[in-house]
Amino acid sequence: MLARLRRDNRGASVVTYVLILPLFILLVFGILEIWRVMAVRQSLHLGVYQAVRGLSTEGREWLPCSASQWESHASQRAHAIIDHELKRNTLIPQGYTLLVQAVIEPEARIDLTQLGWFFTVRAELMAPGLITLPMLNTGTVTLVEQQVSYIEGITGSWTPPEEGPPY
Amino acid sequence: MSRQLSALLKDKKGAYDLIQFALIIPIFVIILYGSFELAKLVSIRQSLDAGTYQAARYLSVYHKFYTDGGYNRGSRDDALRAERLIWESLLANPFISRAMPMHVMIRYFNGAGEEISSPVDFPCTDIRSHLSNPNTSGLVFTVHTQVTLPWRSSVLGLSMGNVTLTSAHTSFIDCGPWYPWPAATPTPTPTPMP
Repeated sequence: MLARLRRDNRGASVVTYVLILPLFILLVFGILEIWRVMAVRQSLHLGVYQAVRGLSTEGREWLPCSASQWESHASQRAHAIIDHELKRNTLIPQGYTLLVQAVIEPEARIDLTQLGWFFTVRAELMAPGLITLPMLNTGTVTLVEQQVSYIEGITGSWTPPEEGPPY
Repeated sequence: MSRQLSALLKDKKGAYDLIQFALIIPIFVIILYGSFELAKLVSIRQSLDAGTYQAARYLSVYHKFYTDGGYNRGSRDDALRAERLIWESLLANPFISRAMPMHVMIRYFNGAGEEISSPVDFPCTDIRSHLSNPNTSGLVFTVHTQVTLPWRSSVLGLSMGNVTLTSAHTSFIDCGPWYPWPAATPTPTPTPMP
């Protein structure tokens, strides 16, 4: 009986198929999940860019104020902009945490009464269950995006040129 | 013993499968790690492009002309700040470390495609010629960046030579609202009716 079973090699290809199948499923779903993470990353990139771009032109409305005041105003505004952009992406699961920090460069922190300064917006998106693979628990995925831009102050050493043609 | 060994040597079952596997494995490994390397390069290229865009936007929006003995020129700091934006964008990329021997070249071109030292220094000469023919004006500029970095394959630590990524963004510098254009039409003096 056992000897007959050992000689029987029909169905060997089914065994190979069953061995390969989980790997194949993992590959296919893995590609889908990578695509989803990249879409969310792109949304985050776009949101941070819009925040930086908006603060660069509209961030002067809180001036004059101290550097930390400006940072807290700018962080709140940037959080709203980035969150709005993330909400447009339906691939992000509910219950994510978004941390946004706007930081003025250290050389300009002393006073904001100069020509302009650089600032950084750093966003951290913690999305639990962003990657859902069968039989694998990937936990919380954290995506970080950081961009730098420039803002003009209200006072500066620059004075407009004299009247008339510039040459 | 020797009979078993000679039987094993004569056994050809599975040999073709094994050889096939051995032939396929390097190709598979190259495809797998090659796609990681490609993703890394695309990410660095994306950072470079974002930085170049930021620099072009900075020079376009925050460019200021200072009066310098009848010739208006921009501040030298403008170019430094624009180049700092490019560097900040590159260094924010997790695939780029400060220890990496990276060569960054930033060049500026005017609207005619000629290289200029930096767009802060070209005179705001003829806004009218720009509006009629954008290719002949000095007001259009292009920031051209080029990054050369060593390309190491992560699979065996092999040095694969250098890889060069380029990016370019074109923008526009306005001469400012003080420029008297269009020329004010002189109000006709009322002629007294006889």
